[in-house]
Amino acid sequence: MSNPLTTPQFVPPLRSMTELYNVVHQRPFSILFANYSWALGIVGGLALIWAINAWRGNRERVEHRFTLPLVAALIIGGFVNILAEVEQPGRLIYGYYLGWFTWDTAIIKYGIILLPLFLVLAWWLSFQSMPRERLAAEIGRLSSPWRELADFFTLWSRFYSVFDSPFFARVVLVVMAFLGLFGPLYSAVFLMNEHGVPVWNSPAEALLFLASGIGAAATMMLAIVPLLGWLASGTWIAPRAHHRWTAVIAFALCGLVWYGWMWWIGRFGTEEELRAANLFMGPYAEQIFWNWTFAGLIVPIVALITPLGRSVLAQAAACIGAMWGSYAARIGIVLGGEAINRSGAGYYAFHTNFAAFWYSGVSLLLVGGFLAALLAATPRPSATSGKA
Amino acid sequence: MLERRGILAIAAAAGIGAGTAGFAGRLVEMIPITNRGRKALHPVYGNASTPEWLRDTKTGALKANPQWTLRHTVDLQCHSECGLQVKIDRATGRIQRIIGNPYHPNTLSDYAPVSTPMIETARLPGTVCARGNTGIQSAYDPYRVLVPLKRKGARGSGQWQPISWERLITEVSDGGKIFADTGDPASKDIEVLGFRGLYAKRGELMDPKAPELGHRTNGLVFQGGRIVGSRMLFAQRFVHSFGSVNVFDHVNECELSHHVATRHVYPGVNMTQPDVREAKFIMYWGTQPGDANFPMQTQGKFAAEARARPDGLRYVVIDPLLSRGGVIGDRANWIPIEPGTDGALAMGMIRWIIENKRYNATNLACPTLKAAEAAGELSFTDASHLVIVDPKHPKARHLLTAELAGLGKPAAVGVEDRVVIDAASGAPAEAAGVARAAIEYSGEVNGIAVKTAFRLLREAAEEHTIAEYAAISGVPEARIIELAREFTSHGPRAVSTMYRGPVKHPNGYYNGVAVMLLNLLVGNLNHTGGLATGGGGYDVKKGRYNVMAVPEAAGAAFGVIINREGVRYEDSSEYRVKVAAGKNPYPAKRPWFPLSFAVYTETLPSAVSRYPYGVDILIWHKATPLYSVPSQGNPEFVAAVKDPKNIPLIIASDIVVGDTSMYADYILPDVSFLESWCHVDTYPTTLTKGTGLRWPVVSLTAKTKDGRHMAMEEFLIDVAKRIGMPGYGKKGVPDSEGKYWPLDRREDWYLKATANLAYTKGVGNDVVPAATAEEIAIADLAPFQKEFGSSLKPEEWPAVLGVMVRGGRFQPASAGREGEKLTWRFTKPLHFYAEETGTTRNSMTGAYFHGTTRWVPPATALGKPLDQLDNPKVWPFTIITLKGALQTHSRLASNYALREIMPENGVRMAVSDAAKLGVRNGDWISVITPEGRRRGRAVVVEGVRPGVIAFNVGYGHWGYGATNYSVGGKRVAGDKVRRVGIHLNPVMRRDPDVWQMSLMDLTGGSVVFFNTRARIEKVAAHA
Repeated sequence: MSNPLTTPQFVPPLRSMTELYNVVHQRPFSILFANYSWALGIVGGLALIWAINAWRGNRERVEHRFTLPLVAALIIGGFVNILAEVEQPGRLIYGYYLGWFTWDTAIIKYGIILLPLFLVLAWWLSFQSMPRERLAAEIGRLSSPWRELADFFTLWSRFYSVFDSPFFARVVLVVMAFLGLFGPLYSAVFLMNEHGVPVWNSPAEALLFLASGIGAAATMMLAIVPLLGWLASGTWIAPRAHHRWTAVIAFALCGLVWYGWMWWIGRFGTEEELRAANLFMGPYAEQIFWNWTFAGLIVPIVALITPLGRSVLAQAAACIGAMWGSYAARIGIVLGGEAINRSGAGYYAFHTNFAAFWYSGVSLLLVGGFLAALLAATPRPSATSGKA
Repeated sequence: MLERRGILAIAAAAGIGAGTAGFAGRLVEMIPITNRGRKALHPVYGNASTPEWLRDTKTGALKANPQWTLRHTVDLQCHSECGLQVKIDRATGRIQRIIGNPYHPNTLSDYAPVSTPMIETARLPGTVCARGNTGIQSAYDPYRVLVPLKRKGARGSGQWQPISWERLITEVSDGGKIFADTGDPASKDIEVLGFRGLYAKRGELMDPKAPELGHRTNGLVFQGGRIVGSRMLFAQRFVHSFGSVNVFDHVNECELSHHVATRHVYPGVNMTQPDVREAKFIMYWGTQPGDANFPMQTQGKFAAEARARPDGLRYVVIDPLLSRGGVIGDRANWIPIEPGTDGALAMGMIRWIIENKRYNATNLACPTLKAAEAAGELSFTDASHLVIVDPKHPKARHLLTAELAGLGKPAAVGVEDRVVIDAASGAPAEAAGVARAAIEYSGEVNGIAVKTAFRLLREAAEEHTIAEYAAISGVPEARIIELAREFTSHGPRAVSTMYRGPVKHPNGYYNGVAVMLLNLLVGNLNHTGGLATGGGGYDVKKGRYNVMAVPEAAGAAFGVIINREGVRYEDSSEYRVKVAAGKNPYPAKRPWFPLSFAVYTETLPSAVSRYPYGVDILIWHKATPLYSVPSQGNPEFVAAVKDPKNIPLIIASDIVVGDTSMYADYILPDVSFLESWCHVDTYPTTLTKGTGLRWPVVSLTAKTKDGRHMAMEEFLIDVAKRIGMPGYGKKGVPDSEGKYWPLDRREDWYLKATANLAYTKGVGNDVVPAATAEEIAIADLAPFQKEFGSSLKPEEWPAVLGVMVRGGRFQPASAGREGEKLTWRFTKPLHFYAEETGTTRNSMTGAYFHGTTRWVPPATALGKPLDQLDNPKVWPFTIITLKGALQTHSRLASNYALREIMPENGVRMAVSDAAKLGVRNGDWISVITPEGRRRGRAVVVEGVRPGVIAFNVGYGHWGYGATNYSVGGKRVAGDKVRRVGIHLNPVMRRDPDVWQMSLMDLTGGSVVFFNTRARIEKVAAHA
């Protein structure tokens, strides 16, 4: 045994203790699930807003060009978190080539089909959203092997544009909007399927995850997407102002859903649900209020609805608050569900472990890396048509 | 633009590269893409560790799994001392799992006889409770202190420096200006006496004017928190050889008045327990099955078995608090009594039983054992013995003897010489010749006013009506009568038993005696289904070796223990001087406790106030009085303890930097229970004779240069050898032939005590067979035998290894009863009247204690009723503590598996009280006492008497890893998990009559936990 007097203090991960004490139930999720759910929530919101904008013909805006790289990178980040969270990731992969018997009975399999489709679509549309001439000029300049590789990664986007065909464009946008709704709802339904955890077994969290995803995504359209545009092109282009109101409405809906949910279980809930309500209104109340209600809802709403809401600073503050709040809400729900002992013995103290932090960091690196890669692949504004 | 893209490309490469590398572990796990993913070790049990035992599927034969070492030892997660089977990974040496030892009476109802080969116990896994399971976390606590520490800065500064073992031994032995390097202005110039300097004064009297105080060497005080059995013997051997009487454990903190009250009724016996499985009716006072008691899990298990039988056990729990599930179904009831009024309820029952003649008249009329046996009774009492009640008589309050009664020269001695009224003749007679005696007599014998002991009890019971007792106790009169009727409806298969609840009050002793006397009225002792004193343990002190003998130091330790226990104030020089000067000798400066022992809570205030003398060296062994003693954590007192002028040298023997050891000068790294030695006897609950062996199943502390794992015993051995004390080193322990054996390491002593255990005379079917080669292999004892081979004679090793393999020596389970009788029977007289108590004075008031019991309201040391001290209208709540199954002892703070289930304790309060205050479950509240306030969460429940609030002890630590400290300049971050919760001990009531004394039971000696009054304020949200 190392000398604890000289080694950093370390709280043993609780999962390893389950073998010692069988009353302690397995807690399936850590903060990695919250990371995953947050990424899918944001991805869903971004995709939905992007698809609606594109449907309405706003295809020259900064949002149209620089949203989908972020979507693709966040989907990869979400994957990393969920694969790190499940103890046997090989079993998930197995589902792709053999696991289709009784495929319609398990919610997890819908995700196995649709989320990779979402990734491929977001990746493809990232390039489809770029000006085709510039992309063609950029790739055409490359030597043969690199050109073929670039064509592969861009799915040959320099040769065609889906938006040239109104029919196909609409089909694609409808699929994108559907996936934008599916992502946030899926992560919530995933939790709802975990039996016997009253905090998780409510449809309210599906609404909450969707609304918070849309709200946070709308603020990101205001603050993050133009930043990505600036990173790629060196030019700051202001987004459309109406994202402010999309965000405000979504946050108001979040508040309504959250406090309505708490009221509902407090008023009509079973004993176990009451214990859940007691948790959020008791031991977790302080954290929930400051991180979720205040930082995640009140700050963004105030920042956006006042006249100052047009300023970049206010929009950035709203964005930071919204991102943090939407993450805090998920952390609260995931950890809150795990805190309630299924045998009625009380609340568990939650301890995270090193692996959860490690894979959170890894997922951030990968999101940043893929986002940077997609931005680096953005054609230069000066590129002109070359070989087509 | 190129630059911008270049940066993005670099960021992409770095992010994707580093991220992919970081994710590599999971990617590798994805490679075996199968429907089982990463292959599990077993198709059914998955990746659970493999079992301890394997079975050949063809032959059905069992064999031990070579992956594991299995060792049987004894638990110390609570004081139940259950046997453990510890599963150790041979590859890593790390403990994997703990379950029950199938040979131990606590862990299996029908435990395996010691003659059973270990392999055959594979089918008999014993059980332990959650605490036992999680003991691993006590041993592997990341906050363990594994090397010696010395304070840097002032006491309690939280700064420590690791030092070598040699430096520790040298500094504390040789003394001098050993704190010059601490940078603490208050102590850098202090000349510390050290063990050598104090030992040199072993011929000097502490105070020549008060020779009864003993030698100066009494300035060494060993204050033991958690130390029992032979580990205590080891400490006593050192301290007594040093010349000090001051070695004791924490009994008065826990339950002392329970023991002293039991001794009152059952002379010489500290504890009785019901034969739970065969009883028909049990009254549990201040405890309940499955709660803190002896042994906790065994009592719960036995009660569950008994109440499940069609005509089985019914029981009543009498306690202000209904704790965790002991009262289940229609076989059990809860009586929420007013705290501290158990004596009133018991006296109400006694009154009704006597008035309605529901007592066992046959039994009570037997004045001697001979008469009882002739009447078919299994015990006898002093109910008929006459007590001198004339206060002017020189032998007032004594029992009447034949000589005093004018009956001539006594024909008998002792109990049989007492005088009774012969029921046949109506004349006084020596008890020895009487078959049946009157129990209600009141009159004169030989001109001396006398009454029978039973009569005294009756008159004491008649001091109040049952209605008055009902008003005092809060238990309706009808319920008292119902209880008394039920209790007297099952013959000897009804038992009244108790633990802390009735006795942790200023009137605890009298409450306890009243509860115990109910048993005498039904004559249940020694009966199957009745009350048991148990078989006790085996002698480990003598036999093959005399492990306690240090002939050169015989008689070196004498005098008054610093806590003034076991000695009458009237025998002190202080008393004589006051009387000689014509002064009222009462009150003493601090109370004396003539009927008690181990009055641990008085040690620190006595040392600081130097009464009756000061302390030079204080050893805290796993002791945490500042956390655990009511009121001693108050700032004024902590400051006094921190002042080195009051106690120059404090050494803590501890496994962590604890809530109290954080104020020590040195911390010597002690061993956890899984690394230590001890011989511990079983409890009366299991009825048979047994001694468990705790031995080091793992070793975690750092080693000394000569290869010994650091521990309290090694410290004492090295100090003794350095200062030249006899009994250590080459001439250590004498064997039965007078040959001396070395004592250079703890195994030299404990293995010899184990040899005594193995070879002591048996009581039938309890001889432990020699360990077989297979058993030695299972327990991996060959290396152990090799390392310590010289500690025993070669021929002793097989038997000693046999005891180690089984984790002790135990009489078979079947030996507990002989038909309607218990096998181990107590044959001394049972006391309605305790002469020793009745003839002893209270050192504060000068009044005599009551020789029998009565209802005595709780009061301060000088007799002020507590209700007058703290007006109940201002302080409407009474605080009580709860020793829950999941947390109590400090070391459980490190047991995260338990903390998961109950991370916080809160303040339990009744629904009706909460409603009046507008407090809801989970609200923050302040508990305010006359001594201070603490904040906690309200836990609103039905299972607590209105007007009472309860908190589970063991939470709200400030040490034990709860707060930051530094070692060698490196910060050790405290863990919030250990800090959470509310701890009310520091704000509990001090006795206003004595400086820094908790409220105390001056008769029984217990400290008071259950009489602090409080009020509650709701804290504003998020305050």
